[in-house]
Amino acid sequence: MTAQPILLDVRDLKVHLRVGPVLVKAIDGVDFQVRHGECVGIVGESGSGKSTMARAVTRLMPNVAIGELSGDLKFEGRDILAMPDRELRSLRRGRGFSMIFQDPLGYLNPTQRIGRQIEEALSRDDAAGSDKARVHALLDEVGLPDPVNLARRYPHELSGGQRQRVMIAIALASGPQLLFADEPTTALDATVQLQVLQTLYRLHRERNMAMAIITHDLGVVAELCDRVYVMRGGKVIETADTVSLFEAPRHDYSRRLIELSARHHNQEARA
Amino acid sequence: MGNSNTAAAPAPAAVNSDRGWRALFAQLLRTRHGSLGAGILIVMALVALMAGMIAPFDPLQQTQTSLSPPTAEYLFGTDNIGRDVFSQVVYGARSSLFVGLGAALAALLVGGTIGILAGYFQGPVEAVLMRVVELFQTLPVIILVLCAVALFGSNFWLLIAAVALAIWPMEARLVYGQYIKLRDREFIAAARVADLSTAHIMFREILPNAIQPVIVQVALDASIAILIEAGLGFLGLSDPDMVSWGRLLFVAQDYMDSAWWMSLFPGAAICLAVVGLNLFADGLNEVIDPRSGGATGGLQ
Repeated sequence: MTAQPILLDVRDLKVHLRVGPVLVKAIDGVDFQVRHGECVGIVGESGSGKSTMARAVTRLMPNVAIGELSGDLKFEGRDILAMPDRELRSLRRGRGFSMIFQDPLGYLNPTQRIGRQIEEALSRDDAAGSDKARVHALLDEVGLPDPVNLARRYPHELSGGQRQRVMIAIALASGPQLLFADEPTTALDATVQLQVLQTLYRLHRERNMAMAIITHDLGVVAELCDRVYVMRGGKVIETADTVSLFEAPRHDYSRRLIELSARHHNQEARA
Repeated sequence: MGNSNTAAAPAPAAVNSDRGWRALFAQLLRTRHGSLGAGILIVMALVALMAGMIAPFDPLQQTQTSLSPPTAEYLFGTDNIGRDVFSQVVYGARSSLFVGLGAALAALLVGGTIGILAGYFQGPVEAVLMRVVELFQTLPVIILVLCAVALFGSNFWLLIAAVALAIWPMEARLVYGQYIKLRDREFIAAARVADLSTAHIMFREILPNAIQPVIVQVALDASIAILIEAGLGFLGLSDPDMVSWGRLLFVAQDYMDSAWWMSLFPGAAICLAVVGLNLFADGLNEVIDPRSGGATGGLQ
């Protein structure tokens, strides 16, 4: 794993947002790396800037007044911030990065069938069979049974777990090398959470696709991730291998997070 | 009340899985408002289409007796120069319904286009277009239409255009509001990220989500258009070569105390058409949301 070259290299990222008259330093000088085929966890409390970082890196920041956006963001050596929109779009459409979100229903068009929505996200340069067949293959790959029937359904006819799997299929449609998963299981109930996480992990291994999982659930990190970034107040306060973080957290805040999470899981186990 | 409820109960969500126009219509007929409104409209449309077969006389043909009260021969009586009021009301359905639908569709086209453009593109486009909409909204409808008719004459097509001119701002505001709301939704952002063309996003992604209240508004607009057309006819400004309900009232106002039938029947026809369209719109409103499971709730 260590021999893999770096896929995403973020140095000194700063995202300052304008909220009314106030300048909020959402991200204040963050370094962040993902290697090819690696699974990285980003943990932290709400408002610690973990989602903002993922959105800044994928340049998905609509509807916010950006005061300052600076840093050195390189994806496969290409500068993401300086990239013209066309190049950025081709990166999103083919072998670049994708993202899945906490609330899958919001990201699905309520009046379009599932199949069409996945079709729209397929990478264009690929000569891998007909669009329909590729859609069905994707639905199958994310673990949805009866893809032919499912492709004809509307989002409101699916369960929460199915919707999140559809979102994952859409994210995979462009064949990304890096998948950002922003709280992918927070909106799901516990058993479905586990299934979706297992699916994500399987896809990560099978496709040799790098993943960056953003979560406040250290249990998720412990299960899936090779390396962890702990964020607080717009800064990375600790980064380590998952094992060493859990065994010997260097930072006081990380230790408290781990203790809290352990207590929480024990309580859940008892209940 | 119990009747429609028991009819709606057996298959609440079944129609929902495959939503064609036919399924929508079937659902509509299961609501009380919708079935009543659709019934009235269908009968009116048939009357308008087959006016030649239904009406016993030519609407402009003079019969032997003038100002005859309703009899077996002259169902709705005759007017001051001996024309059969029943035949006139039947033929009047043509122009009234045509003006109603024509003006509502024209308003949809104009208002919809402007609403889409203003709602999708922010900034200067929005500012300019919406000020124009507001300008038209602040002008009194009837004055606007009067000016249009006075300037360009009372040709039938111009009449439709004039009525459409009066009602398009409502349509524009509604569509605008829908686009403002939907433009910032996550799935539209996702469509932009997926590099779909602006036209594709405007018409394929947003439009199907925006269209539902707009369809209802079109039905309501049609009833308003019929009222405006009747008002114009009553002021003597409709096309003199066409029989219209408003024009019948215009002629009837001098005989209000002696020949009640001349004003009652055209007035009732206008009323029926407007009520029919409003009920239809109410019914549509109840069934049209794709996420609502079947035709329950509302004013059943």
